[in-house]
Formats: sequence, structure tokens, C-alpha cells
Amino acid sequence: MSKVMVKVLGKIDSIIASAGTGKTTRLVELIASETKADTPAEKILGTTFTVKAAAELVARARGKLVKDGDIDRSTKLLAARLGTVNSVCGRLIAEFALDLGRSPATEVLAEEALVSTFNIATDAVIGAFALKIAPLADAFGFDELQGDAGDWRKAVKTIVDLARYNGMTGAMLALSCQRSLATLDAILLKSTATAEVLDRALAAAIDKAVSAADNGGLATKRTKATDKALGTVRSCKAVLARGECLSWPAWARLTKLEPGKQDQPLFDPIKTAAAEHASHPRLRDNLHAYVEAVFECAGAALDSYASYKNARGLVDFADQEALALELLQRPELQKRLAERIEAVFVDEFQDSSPIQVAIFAALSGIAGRSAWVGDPKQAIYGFRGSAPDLTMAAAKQAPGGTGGKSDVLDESWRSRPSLVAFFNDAFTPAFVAMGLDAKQSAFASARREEPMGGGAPLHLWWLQSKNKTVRFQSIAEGVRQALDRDTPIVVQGANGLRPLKPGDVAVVARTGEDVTGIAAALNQIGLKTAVEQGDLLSAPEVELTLACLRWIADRSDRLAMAQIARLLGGTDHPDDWLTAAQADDPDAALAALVPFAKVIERLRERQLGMTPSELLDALLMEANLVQIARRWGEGSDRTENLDALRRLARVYEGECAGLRKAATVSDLTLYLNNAGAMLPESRDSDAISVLTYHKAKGLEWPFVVLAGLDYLRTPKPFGIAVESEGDIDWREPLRGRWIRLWPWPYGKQEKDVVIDATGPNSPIGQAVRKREHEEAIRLLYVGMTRARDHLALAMPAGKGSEWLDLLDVEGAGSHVVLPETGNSMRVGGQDHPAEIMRFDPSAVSIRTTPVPSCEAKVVEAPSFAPLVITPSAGSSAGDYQVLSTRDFDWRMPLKGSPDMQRLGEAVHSCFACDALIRAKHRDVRLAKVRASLQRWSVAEVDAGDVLMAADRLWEFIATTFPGSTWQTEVPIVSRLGNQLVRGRIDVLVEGTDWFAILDHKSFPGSRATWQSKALGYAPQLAVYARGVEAATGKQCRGTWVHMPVIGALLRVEAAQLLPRTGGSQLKEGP
Amino acid sequence: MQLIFGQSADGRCYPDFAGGGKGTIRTHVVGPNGLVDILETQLGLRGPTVPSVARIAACQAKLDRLGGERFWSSSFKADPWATAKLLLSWRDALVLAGWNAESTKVSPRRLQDLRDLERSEPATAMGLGDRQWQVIAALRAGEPIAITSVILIDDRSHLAPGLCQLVEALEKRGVVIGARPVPTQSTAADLSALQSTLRQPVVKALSGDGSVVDLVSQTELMLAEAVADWLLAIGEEGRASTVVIAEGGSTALLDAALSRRGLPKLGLSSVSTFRGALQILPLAMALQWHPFDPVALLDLLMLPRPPVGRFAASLLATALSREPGRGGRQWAAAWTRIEDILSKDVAAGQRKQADIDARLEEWRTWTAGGQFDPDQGMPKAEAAAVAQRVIAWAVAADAGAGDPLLMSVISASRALMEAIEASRRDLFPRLLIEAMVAQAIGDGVPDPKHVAEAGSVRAIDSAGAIWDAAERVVWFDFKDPGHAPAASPWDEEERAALATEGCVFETPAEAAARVSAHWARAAAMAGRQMIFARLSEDGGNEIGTHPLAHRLVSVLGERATAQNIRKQAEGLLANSPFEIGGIAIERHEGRLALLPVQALAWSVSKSTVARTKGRSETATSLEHLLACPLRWLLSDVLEVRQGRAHSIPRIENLIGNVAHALVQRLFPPGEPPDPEVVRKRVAEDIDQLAEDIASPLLQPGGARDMASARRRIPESLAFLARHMQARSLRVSATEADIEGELAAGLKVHGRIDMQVELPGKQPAVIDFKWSGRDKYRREELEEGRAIQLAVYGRAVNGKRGVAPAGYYMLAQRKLLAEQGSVLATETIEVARDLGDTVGAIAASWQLWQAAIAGGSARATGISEGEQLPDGLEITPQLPCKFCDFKGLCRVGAPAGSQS
Ligand code: SF4
Repeated sequence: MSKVMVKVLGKIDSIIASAGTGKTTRLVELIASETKADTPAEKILGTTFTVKAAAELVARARGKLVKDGDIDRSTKLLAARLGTVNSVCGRLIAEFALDLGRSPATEVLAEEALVSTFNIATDAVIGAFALKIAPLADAFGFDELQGDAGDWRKAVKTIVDLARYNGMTGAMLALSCQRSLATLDAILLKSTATAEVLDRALAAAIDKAVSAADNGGLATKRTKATDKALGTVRSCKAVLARGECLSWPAWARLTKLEPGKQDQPLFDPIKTAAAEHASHPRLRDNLHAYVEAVFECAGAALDSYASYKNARGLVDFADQEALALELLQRPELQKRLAERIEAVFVDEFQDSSPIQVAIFAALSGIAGRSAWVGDPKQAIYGFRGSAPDLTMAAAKQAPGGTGGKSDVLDESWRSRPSLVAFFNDAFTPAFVAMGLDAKQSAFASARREEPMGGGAPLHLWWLQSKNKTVRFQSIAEGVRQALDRDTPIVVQGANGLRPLKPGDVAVVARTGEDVTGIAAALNQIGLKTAVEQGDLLSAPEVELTLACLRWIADRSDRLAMAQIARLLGGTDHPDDWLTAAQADDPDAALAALVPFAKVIERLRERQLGMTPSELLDALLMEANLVQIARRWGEGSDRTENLDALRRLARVYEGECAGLRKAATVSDLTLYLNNAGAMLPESRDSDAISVLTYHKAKGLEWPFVVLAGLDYLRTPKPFGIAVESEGDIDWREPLRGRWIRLWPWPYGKQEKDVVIDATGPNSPIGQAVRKREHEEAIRLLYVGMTRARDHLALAMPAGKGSEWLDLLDVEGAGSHVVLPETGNSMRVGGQDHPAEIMRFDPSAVSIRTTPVPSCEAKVVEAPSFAPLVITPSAGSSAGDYQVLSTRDFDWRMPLKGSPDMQRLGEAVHSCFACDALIRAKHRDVRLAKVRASLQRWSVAEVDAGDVLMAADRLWEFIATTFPGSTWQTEVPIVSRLGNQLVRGRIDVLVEGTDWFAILDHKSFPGSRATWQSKALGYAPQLAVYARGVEAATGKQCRGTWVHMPVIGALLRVEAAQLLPRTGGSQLKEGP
Repeated sequence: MQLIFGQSADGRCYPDFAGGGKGTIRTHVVGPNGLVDILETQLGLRGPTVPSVARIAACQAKLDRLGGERFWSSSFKADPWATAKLLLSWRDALVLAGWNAESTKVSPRRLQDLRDLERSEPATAMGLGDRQWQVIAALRAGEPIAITSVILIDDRSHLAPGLCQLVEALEKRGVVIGARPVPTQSTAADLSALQSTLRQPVVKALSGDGSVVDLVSQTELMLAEAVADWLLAIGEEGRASTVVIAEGGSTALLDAALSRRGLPKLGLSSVSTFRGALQILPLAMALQWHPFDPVALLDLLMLPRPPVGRFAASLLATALSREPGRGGRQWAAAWTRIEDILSKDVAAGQRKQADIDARLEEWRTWTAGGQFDPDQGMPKAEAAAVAQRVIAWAVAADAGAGDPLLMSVISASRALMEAIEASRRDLFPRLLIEAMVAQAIGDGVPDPKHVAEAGSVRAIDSAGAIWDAAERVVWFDFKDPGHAPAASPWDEEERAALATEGCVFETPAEAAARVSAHWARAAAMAGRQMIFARLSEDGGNEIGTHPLAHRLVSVLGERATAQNIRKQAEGLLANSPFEIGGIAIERHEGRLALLPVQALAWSVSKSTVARTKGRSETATSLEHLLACPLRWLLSDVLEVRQGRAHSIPRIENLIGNVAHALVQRLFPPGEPPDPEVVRKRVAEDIDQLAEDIASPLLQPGGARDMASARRRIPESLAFLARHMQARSLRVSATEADIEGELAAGLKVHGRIDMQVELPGKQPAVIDFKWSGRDKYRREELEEGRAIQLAVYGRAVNGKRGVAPAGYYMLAQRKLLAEQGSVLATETIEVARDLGDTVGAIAASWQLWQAAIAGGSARATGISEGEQLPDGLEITPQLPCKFCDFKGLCRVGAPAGSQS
């Protein structure tokens, strides 16, 4: 994949922009000036990290051009290729699909559909490998583990994904397998005996202990501990008795038996024998077999996933990148690509994955100019495949290597000077140690003025630390007090300094769980939070809506009915549902409790005409669910939750489209049940934001509280990771990369199993540790630099500060000193003013009472007539009469049995055209008619006969309406009251103050049926007549139904019978 | 005749007609399609249109025959349908731009390939481009037309090249080409400032006079409500000249809100393939493939108008949901019942036997299928037969009413049949058929029942469709419409070659300028008010701002809130009256309702109590009762059940069911079978059985579980046979029905998996379980809560105490039973043996029954600390697991004081 690039790269500028230094502004300026330099907009390519950022970039760049008076260029910029890396790549591969030999459909799989698509595509492969892998997974005790950790398919999928994100082929997977095995061997103990010897020794020890126990060999007073140990041993014996091998967690457990003290001698031989597990040859064999099988399976899955998608024209994000790289590197496409791409702008370069770096490098070979903007200090997506070392090296070396410029944005626009000084002192040494230049590591200056008074910039909060809940409650109390002081804390507002408000505060936490906990603690004391928390399905309004959907899908769903009744009953009628469920006809009784049962009934029938998501919308509105939900208080939050459900329904339909499967309401309810959706973040701007460090990236608040600084995850080298070998070369970022799989063979046993020590101590283990620690430092930097005016460090008292300690410089003691009291903190030897406080859980506990929303007055949906009058044929024929009949005594001869609809259209077309050329020579007219009949494939009538019919008609008009003008195919639009008449009139004859209408109907029936047939069309003609009257003010002199096939014109009475007052409405037929 | 022509005027336009009168004749507002159509009519060139699915199928057939090394060859191999579709679209675009496929000039390779394709037989059915040039040619040839003038809505410079030529041809024929008069600038200060901003880069300060409103909401729901509220508040007169732009093409949500406010619907419905009736075709096709897809059949049967009789559909759906497959007892029983019901009609003389037979035959055809290999494909005749069947269904369902939706089902099915014919192939693989069905349904149809209602507000789905002044313009869901101008597939050399032949394309920048002009024009048309109604940018779903907004930064930018221009729709929930655009919107304070709280005790009516008297319980119902009386009451007495789609057993249970069936088949009464024979037979039979009664296992995604079953069950049943031999156990019966009395008044019944005979002729019970872990069952035994075993053990032993009983854990190959049991492979020390468990069950049953008889059922999961009745020996396991009724007792919800 990573061919050596012989191409000369275009000029690459690198701009390093520290947090809050106006990165986007710079990017906007660059794009605007590129446009002004008359680079065609469609040849400008720019990538950002999120859809939102891309939208903002386009908006600001266009806005800037407008501001500069350049509307024209601003318009053209709409054609630029600006978007996320994926969308930009996606567009390219769609354009070049045929060159890539791929399905041109390139339908992008939604994120939500990735797992199910993968599972379906690789099902056969998984089934085939299951025989091999499942027993090994058993041996490793995977069934003890929760969720994905216990599913080997997940390992396969991870490897497949990593392979794709790193541009690896099957051969490279084989290499990865070998390297995994070699490195894994290095952390295993050498075996000292054969498997049989070790197995036998353990079996013997077990047998001996069990039979001793069975024969009274235990201490007379049996203890619980001994019972437990014996239970463990017995179940191992049963396994052995079936002729099976013990799992590795079982071996490990046997080394940890803790019988009662007196019984220890009986168990000690087992422990000794079991302790050999670490050097057991079968452990090594199992690990090898597993690693090999999983890689082999991944290779096969990689292929089947690829061909599944290709056959269906599907691509996912990884494909978009891999294929884009492939096409960018194709020599034969360089010229065409160069016609399409002239300038490239990359935002958030530091978060690029290796394949993205490769794409950007390849793009720079195509485009004349590139600018990469980013901040290596804020690279925090290592866990998601970005490669900070690589992006840092690339940003450093690319400008020099290509004749570009390096620039650093180091003037903070965001934070007050005292905070900026703190960031510099805190982080510079750590970043320099990571290989950054000093200049890139620190802010040179702060743009803002230091506010006078209003509190110290830094806050050190000592929390009561009994347990997590208490800690969270202490943080909440800290926030409460910050917001509620005699001398308020002040922040910079749009118009000068102002007191702190709840919406100014953000609490940043380590995990989603912590976010939920902190938010709960804040809510408990009556502070509103903006946070994505909890299961969407647990929201009562969502529960209600889902129950309604289930009831729509299946009228026999009594549980759904009961749930609806229960929710509607609230606290006023809490038992009604159960009383109804006990009635003689429970379904009817339950339905009677649902005021909108009729709506449900109606919607059930409308399933045929509506899509599942439209049905959901109709349900929400027509059954009034939105208002019902708002009665429970928190109206706008509940509306948001329902909106989130609506979005999911649309995602579901998208997924169905991708998989080309049917979408039904019933299936939607199953999907929603399994979607695992979260409640959306409240968008209330008066709420305190609580979010994770990762989510905080790119945002800023006046007052930021950092939690979780006491703790650091121990880096573990087990599982799956991408490693790279050799020196980093940003021009070939994919070279030397391999996937390492180190399975954990001991199930839930995490300690004292030898490899828990040898793994982390190995060179790989060390490298993992370094990687993770560096990333943690960057994450800390991201967290801290979110603060504009105040930064609070929330530290649990007596728990240490492991995360902050990462900033320590070797041999120099604590870099950030956290004093218990005082009014400053010492950071890197410098004192920074700080407010130091101590918080216990709040004594306040406020349960807010719900406030109902203001509601619109709603009515039962009225039934209006349709806007466009559509009298259905024959609907009210009884109200009309045939006044006269003109019979030509001539029928158009038909050969065979023609498709009358087709024939009608053809004849009709002939008349429309012939009206314009009726004065021409008959041959000309005949040729037209012939061509027309041929076009309609109507061979059953003769062209001459059609012409004959036309002539009769023209003659009829001329004789019946002498001195008039007439036209065919006359459009009419007019208003009758609130309704519209819209259509085309076949023949409109006009006099000075009158008109008449003729309408062709190619009816082939017998004479006896003419009249009734004609009357069927009368209502429609009447409507047209009324329309023409309204539009022209002329009187209708009659309406005729022209039946060319039977050779007759029937005058039908119309109009007179219709109401003439402007306001009344014409009703539709039955 | 006069035409008003705009590139976006093919759909709904605003206003309805020109001039302020009551209507017009002889004036048409048309887009490119309408223009060509009118000219064709006048020139005698109209002809039938070929559905796109058939055009693509024909193109695919041509590609197939053309062969050779072409620039599309690899893609065509990977995805023939999509490749044919793309090439056809390229061809159509070329034709539209004036391509001459007959030219003999040497072209770049790709164009030459395409030219070869175009020239190969049969000729491609006409598209819009072909028709347009045919019209131009006729015009140039001087054929008569009846058009006097064409007024262009768009600037002439913005017309696509082909349309330019058409307009020129008309002009040469003496048709007057005119430009739409420019509407006068609004007199409202802010709106006027906005309009000038769009014309030239001026920045004017806005005053917040209400003529421009940036209405922002966090949710679409609220946005729809706010706009509906506003439309209501402006009154009939205000609505009289109001147009709503909904670029997404749907006003469904807004209309629902309008309806509830007593206003007529605007009636824009987006096209979608997911309308229920249109799903019949893909579902019917999905049923044809092997392995059979039970969910597709269930979906089909649960539609409001299923293709088999409603009662039959209901019976079959229930059978499928219990035992998903067509080879099990449930399925057979459902059919028997259907036949019985139908034959009653015969007996009653209401129907003839022959009718019934025909009907049954038809129903069976719908539910049969599932035999074709997806890769190989289904034969042409079968594919057409499915389409035909769907047509027959639609015709019958419509019963002559002409329902537009059913008509579209018919036309989609016909189009599919046409395409099947045009494909000229014998076999249709699954992917191809699916692509064809998707195409036949097309982009779908709008909801035919969702039409505009008589009223004054109009909605249009494209900003470019406003061609004359409106008092008020509401841009609903003002967001990035998301179609950036696409780059041309042709490179510079190719474009140059095409240009020499007069084939010219619009450039992306020109396209951008054209759509931008549409947007700006929409705003320029507003005379009094312009409302931009949009979602806030920070909505969860990362929406982009509308490109027009980029040009209005000075108007809608940061200062908009301060200037009283930006209004947050959610303000309507908090304040009444709330002002939007100078109109005060009144809402009333909503009623407050409290959410239900959890409750511990639930009242049982007398009649229910009566129903519980003398009941016979099953082991499962007893488990329910002893876990939670409310649960028992709901699930076992009152039959409060989930719907069918939600009742399909979980994978674990399906595998268990397959294993049960295998046991029944392979362990006949008598000596245990030969383990090797068992192993072999299981391996042979398991797949068929899965298809018959547990077909979800064979669906994509089930392979791992199915592999696990294939791996473990043969081994496991062989092991059991061996174990039984070793312990001298004989099979007495499998799936045996039992009935008995567990204690005085406690009747039980059920079906036991296997009854065995111990060496001393004593009976014993083995119950089979398939589960990832044995922990749960083990604990049950240890703690003396193995209700199932106790009930069965007691039932087979009559009055003689409790027979030995154990769980055979299929996946683990362990027979779990209490210590000392002859059954066990692994004995468990128990706190209470099965005999005592029976006693405990009876005692606990008695206590709960007494409480229920007293009119109260307890939800044991509520308030965990609550006192349990004295003497309750089997206590509930908390927190509650696997219970469907959490939403009813509301465990987990706050407690409240409840009367
Ligand atoms: S959730 Fe618990 S308390 Fe509620 S009904 Fe079910 S078992 Fe009883």
C-alpha cells in the first residue's frame, strides 16, 4: 500500500496554533485569500474534524468574503470541497468510482449501522472460524467477562477495522500475527515440563484432596473458606472427569485457594501444581492458536466485508479514506486529480490518523499548496487511532522539506493573562520533554486584560473523599458556593465584567459515569445541568411514545396499552390501568383509558401510506404526546428527548435503505429497543455543563472545574493495539505499522498470574505506558485551557494527584504543588494566586417542583376540503344530464383489443397537435398522426381514421360555434373560494363573453352506455367551467364530452347545478 | 399561450397564477419538464415514458452484450446495476448538454466507450435530454406552435446550456422572451435592509421592527409548533399572501401542528420508499430466499392489510412469534385452525369449498417460498410471479377505489415486471432484484393522503419556485440543503472534445450562482415579512447553516439577539404572550400532571380473585408468583403480554428449543441411545430443525450462536447418553405432559423435557437448559429455590415424595442436581432439598394467595427494605430480573404517597 512516493510534494505550510489563539480565524483568512487569488472555488479542498466545524468554516469564509464586498466569490465558494476528511474523501471516491473499479453507488454506511453490517457481512466467516476459536475463548474464560470483552468477534472486528484504518492488506495481517506471537512469547515463562506432566500433577493433587475431603480428611470444624475452596476444586475435578482441560482462569484460581487454616496442607499441593500454569506449554499453544486463528479470521472477514460492501455499493468511513488514498496515489489519475485540486487546507492536523497523514501528503503532491493547521499539544485521540508522534513529526518537517513556511499562533485570545501564565508554567517542561520546541509549548502573550478584582484565577478545591458520591457532592457544593457569594466571582462578559452565572460553569470529568454522577449531585441541590446522561428509553415521554408505537404495530399488545394507561394515570389515577386489565374485556377497558385511542386506531390503518418516522411524527402531534409530556415539567427537555427519538427513527430508515430491507413500524420498535440511545444533552444555556475532557475539546467557559485529577488509569499492554517499527517518516506514515494482539488468557483473574507483571515490564509494555502518559498530559492541557477566567482544580483530600503528577520534571519534586491552605499555588517554582477552599457535601437538598409549560390551544384536527378540487369521475353523475348528442354515425375501426388507456393518450396527442396544423396538407397531417401512433405503439387504429375523427371534430366546432376562436390543451388555474381549479382543458372555445369546453374520452363502448359514461365526466367539466368563469368572467355555453372512438359528442349539463357563491367549497367525492 | 418558465418550477410554485385576479387561462408556470411536455404536445411528439427501472435494466443488458475492455468493466463486474445506472445518468447528462453520439470524430477513450454503448442496439429509451433536443429540432424545422411568450423566472444567464438553446430556438420562432419584473423593495425597514444586503455588500443596522425574524429552536417539534402558532396568530388576512418554503420537501410535522390549531394542511409530503404499502413488494421478495426469513414474514403478516385474511394473518403471526419457523407444531396448528374457520363458512353455506380451496392455496403461496439461493438467483418467472402477486393484492385491496397509494404499488410492480423483461436474463440474484425493487419503487411516493387543504397559505419545496411577490415568506427549517454543486465526471480534455461538438455543461461555479440566485430571490419576494425558522446550530445533529445565511451575517449574525431579531422558539413554553415578528402569540398555562410513582400494593378485584381460585399453575407461573405476585397476576392471570414482534424468543431460548426437539427425537423411551449415533444424528438434523422452529438462528448474524450450538449440542447429547448408560438410567418419556397437586389446593400442570427411570424403577426428571453460564441454576439448587425441578419431581412421583430431578446444562455438559442425586455429574450442596422446596413453595404460595384473596397483590421489587409476610420461605430475588412490567409497577421510579 505505502508505495514510495516519487512525486515532488507541493509546498506545505504548517501552522501550530495553541488553545484559544484564533486558529479558525486564520484558516478562514487563508481560504478567503486563496479565493481572492482566483483559484477556482471547486479546486479548493479543506478538511476539518467534525461536520459542525466544516459548516462553521464555510460559513465564516463566505461571510468574510461578503464582508469584504466580494459577493461573487462568496457564491462560488459554495462549490469548494470543504468538509470532514471523510466527506471530502467520500466525494472524491464517488467521482472516481469507475476508475477504482468499484460499485459507483458509494452509499455511506451510517455510524449506527456499522456493527450490524459487519456482522451480517462476515457471518459466514465467523461461523466457519467459530469451531476453532470458540474452544480457545472458553479456555481463556471469555465467558466470565462482561460485554465485548467476552466476545472474540469483537477482537476480529477491531483487527479488521485497524487494518483498514492503517491501509493494511492480508499479508500485513500475517506479519502482524507473527510479530504478536514473537512479542507475546517474550513475556511468557519458558516451559519446564510437558503438558501431560503438568496436567497429571494437578489432577493427582486435586484427586487426592477431594478424596481426602470425602473421607473425612478435613478439619472437623469445617469453615466457609474451606467449603468455598473445596467447591472450586470439585468443579475442576468434574471438568477433568469429562476429559476436558481446565480453563486458564481455573488454573489461576487454584493457585489462589484460601481454605481454612487447618486445611491448608491438603490444598497446598494443588496450589503448587497449579502455579505451573504460567509456564504450561499448552498456555503458549492456546495463545498461539488463538492469535493465529483470530488473525486468519480477520483476514477472511476483511475480504468478505469488502466484497459484501462492494457488491452493494456501500462504503464506510475507513473505506472512504483507504480508497481515497489509493486513488490519490494512482499515477494515471494524477493529471485528472490535479485538474480538480489546487489548494489544500487541513484543520486539526494533530488528530489525524496515519492514513489521513498519508492522504494529506498525497494531496500535497497533487495540489500546489497545502496548509496544515493544528496543535500537537491537543492531540487526544490516540485511543481512536490518531498518531501524535507522526503528526508532530509531519508538522515539524513538512514545511522544511517542501519549501513551505512554519508559523506559530501563540497569542491567547481566550484566557486572562494570569491563567495563561499558569498554563505556561504548568505545561512547558512536560511538552519540551515530549519533543516540542519551547516556542510551540507556551503562549507568548495574552490578548485580554487581567480583570481587576472578582476573585483569583485559580481555585483549589479540597473535596471530602470518602467515596465517589461524596466527592461528587462536594464538587456540587463547590459550584454552588462559587455561584452564591456575597462578593460575586466575576467574569468577562460581552459588555465588561459581570457576576458569574450557572451557564458560565463547566465541570469536566474523566468518564461518562463520573459525568452522570456529578450531574446528579448538582441536580440534587437544585442546580440545572446540561449533560448527555442516561438511557433515552428511560425517559417517561419516550416510554409513552414507544408504547404507543408498539400498540400501533400490534393491536394485541396489551402490555403497551397498560403502560400507556399507567403513564397517563399519573398520581391521580394510579390504579385505573389495573382495574381495566381486570375487566371482562381488558383490551377495551384499557383502550378506554387512552384519550387518543382513536388516533392510534387511525394511525394503525395509515401505516400503509406513511413511513415509520412519519407515523411517529403524526403520533406525537395528533395524539398530543408532546403536550402530555410537557405537563410533567421540564417541557423543553422532554421535547428534546422526543426529538432525539425522532432522529433515531430517521437513522433507522437510513439503515434500512443501506441494507435494502423493509422498514416497518413493528421493526422500528425492535430497533429502538436495541439502539442503546442516550438522552440528548440539554441545550439550556442557563445550565451548568458537565462533560468529559474529550467532549470539552474546542469549547470554552468562563469558569471551568476539573475533576478526576487524582487518578490515572494503569496502562495495560493487553488487547489490541497498533505498533510501529522503525523511524517515523511522515511521507510514508503507514510503513512499519503492525497490529499487536495480546489476548488476556485468565478471564477475570487480573493479578498474580505472571504476565500481569511481565507484560507491562516488557519494552512494548513500557512504550504503551509512555504513549498513554503523554496522551494524558495533552488531555490535561485540553482540560485546563478551556478556562477563560477561572480554573478550579477539584482534588479529593488525601487521595494524591496522580494525573497532575505527570507534569513533574524528573528529579525536581512536585511540579504542581497543592497546598492545604494559603492564597497561592506553586507551579514550576512560580507562585500563582489561588483561592484554596474545602468542600463537604452540601447540606442543601432541593427537589425542584416541575413547572408546566405554556401550551397552545389545540383542537381536534378539522377536516378541510382538498386545496385542489378533484371531482372523482362519476361521483355525482346523477346530478347531471345529457342535453343533446351529436352522433357522427361513424365508429373508429379498431383492430384486435388495444390497451384503451394507451390508445386514448395517443389519439388525444394527435388531436392536440393536429389542431395546430389542420390547415396543412393532409399528407403532412397524416405523417404526424402516424408517427404519434407509432410512438405510443398503437397499431390497432389506422392513422387515416384518427384524422377523420379530428376533421369531424374541427368541423363540429366550426359549425356549432361560428365566429369563435378555439384552442387545444389550454391551461387553467383559478380560485374558487379557498380552493383551486387546476388543469388543462382539451378544447376551449371562446366567444366575446362566453366559452365552451370539449373534453376527449376514448371510450369504445356500445351506444347504450354512452350517456352514463359521459355523465361520469360531467362533474369534472363542471369544475373546469367554473374555473374558466372565475378566471375570465365569461359565461359557459356548454360542456361536451367528445368520444372519438364511437364518433359522438355529448353535451352534458354542468355548472348550473354548482353553487356559485365564491366562498363555498366543492367537496370531494365519497 | 404564455409560459412562465423557471428551472425549479416543475413542482409547486408560488403564486398559484399571475396577476391579482381570480385565475388565469392560457398561462402555464413550468419547469424544464413541463416546458418540454407542452412543446411536445403541440409539436405532436408526445409518447409514453419508460420507467427508469426498465431503462436501467435495458442499459444493463446492453452493457452485458457490449462486452470488451471498457472503462467501466471492473465496476460493472462488482455492481452491474449501479454501474448501468451511473452510465445511463452520464449518458442522459451528456444528451441533455447536446451530445452527439453519432459523431464520427475521434474522442477520448471514455467518451468513445460511451458512444459505443449508445450506438449498440436496442436504442436507449428516451430521457428528458432526448426529448428536449427532439423538441429543439422540431422548432428549428419550423413546426408550428401556439406559444406567444415565455417569461423567464431565472436570469437568462443562469439557464443551463441546453435550456439556453431551447429558449433561443423559441425566440427564433418569434416567441417573445421576457424577464420577470423585479419586485419592489419592501418598505419595512429591516426587510428592506436585508434585501439590499442581498443585492450589494452594504451593512445596515437593523431596528428589530419584526419584518425580519430569525426564529431559532432546539428541536424540530418546537420549530413546527412555533411556526404554526405564528401562522395562527397572524390571522386569515395575514395568511392570505404567505408562502412557506420547505426545502426538505415535507411539511408533515408542520401540518400536524397546523391541524391541531384548526388550520388547513399545506400538504408537502416527501417521497419515500418506506410507506407501508410499498413495503409489500420488498417483503414478498425477501421471503423467496433461503434461508427463510421469519421476521420478513411476520412484518408482512402484521401489516394493516395483510395479503392473507386478517384472522389468518393474526394466527400465523402468533405462531411465528412463538416458534419462528414453518416446520413446527405452532405453524401447523395455525393452519389447521385457519382451515377449520374457513370450513365453517362452507358448512354454513356461505362459501363454496372450491372458493375456500383457492383462497387457501393463495394464502399458502404468500407464506411459502424461501427456496432460492441468493447468489444464484430466482428464475425470471418466479420474480415476475411475485410482482404479479403484489399487483393482485393491491387490486383486491383497492377494490376499484383508485387509491393513489395502491395505484403506485401497482405501477411500481408493473415497472418491475417491465424491467425484468428488459433485463433479458433468466436468473435474478438477490442483490439485483433488491436493487431493481428499490429502483422500481423509485425514490418512493409521497403520502397520497397528505394533500394540501383548502386555505390560503401555500408551501413550496424549492426556493426557486417563488416567481412573484408574497407578503410574507416563511422559510421553514432553514438549513443547509446539503447539495453542493457536483463536479463534472469529465476531465478537461474530454470537456474540450465535447465542447467542439457543441456539448457544454454548467460549471460548479455556475450551478452555485444559479441556486444562490434562487435563494436570494425568495428573500427579495417578501413584501412585508421574512421569517427564517431554523434549528439552532448546536443541535445534537450538527447541522450546517443555510448558505444564504452566510450572506446575511450582517443581518442574522451575532447581534441578532440583541436587536430583537433572533427569537428562541422555546420562549413560547415559558412566556405568554410571546412576541414573534411583531405578533403576540398567546398560549395558556399548561396543566401540571405528576408522573406515576412506584407502588408496592396493588388491588385485585373480586372477579379476579375468583378467577385465581382453583387455577392450575405451571412451574413458570409459580416462579412468577414467588418472585412477585404482581408479576404473576399480570402475566399469568390477566395475560398482559407484549406484541408479537417482541415475543420472538431470544437466541438462547431458540437454541434450547432446538435441543429439546432433538432430545425428543433421539431419546425415545427405553434404554438410552448409542452416544455415537446421537452425536451423528444431532449433527445431521440440527440445521433442518433450526430452520423449522428457530429460523432466526440461520439469519445473518446468527452464525456464531448457531456454530456454538452445532459444536456443543452433538457432544453434549452424546455425553448425556453416555452418562445415562453409566448410571443405568432409562428414558420413560420426553416432552411428557404432567398434572398433579403439589399441595392441598395447589394444582400444577406442565410438560417435562425428559422423565427417566432410575435403576430401582423410580422415576426422575431431567430438565434441559441452554445458557452461557450455569451459575444461576446452580444457585437455585443451592438455595433451595429450584421450583421447576421441585414441581416436576413431585408431579412424576405422585404422593410418594419428590423424585430426583436435575438440570442438564447443555452448553456446559453438566447435570446439576442436589448432593447424593444419582442423576448428577456434579452434585451441589443444598440448603434445602427438593422435598423441602416443595413444602416451601406450597407455604409461600399459600401466603401470597391469601394476600391476593384479600384483594392485594404485591410488587416485591418496590422498596426493597419493606417487610415480607411472616413465614415466607421462598423470598424474592432482588433487584427484579427479566420482568416486562417495570413500566407498570414503576420500580426505580421515585416513591410517592399513593392512595
Ligand atoms: S419489575 Fe419487579 S416489582 Fe415490578 S412487577 Fe416485575 S418483578 Fe414485580
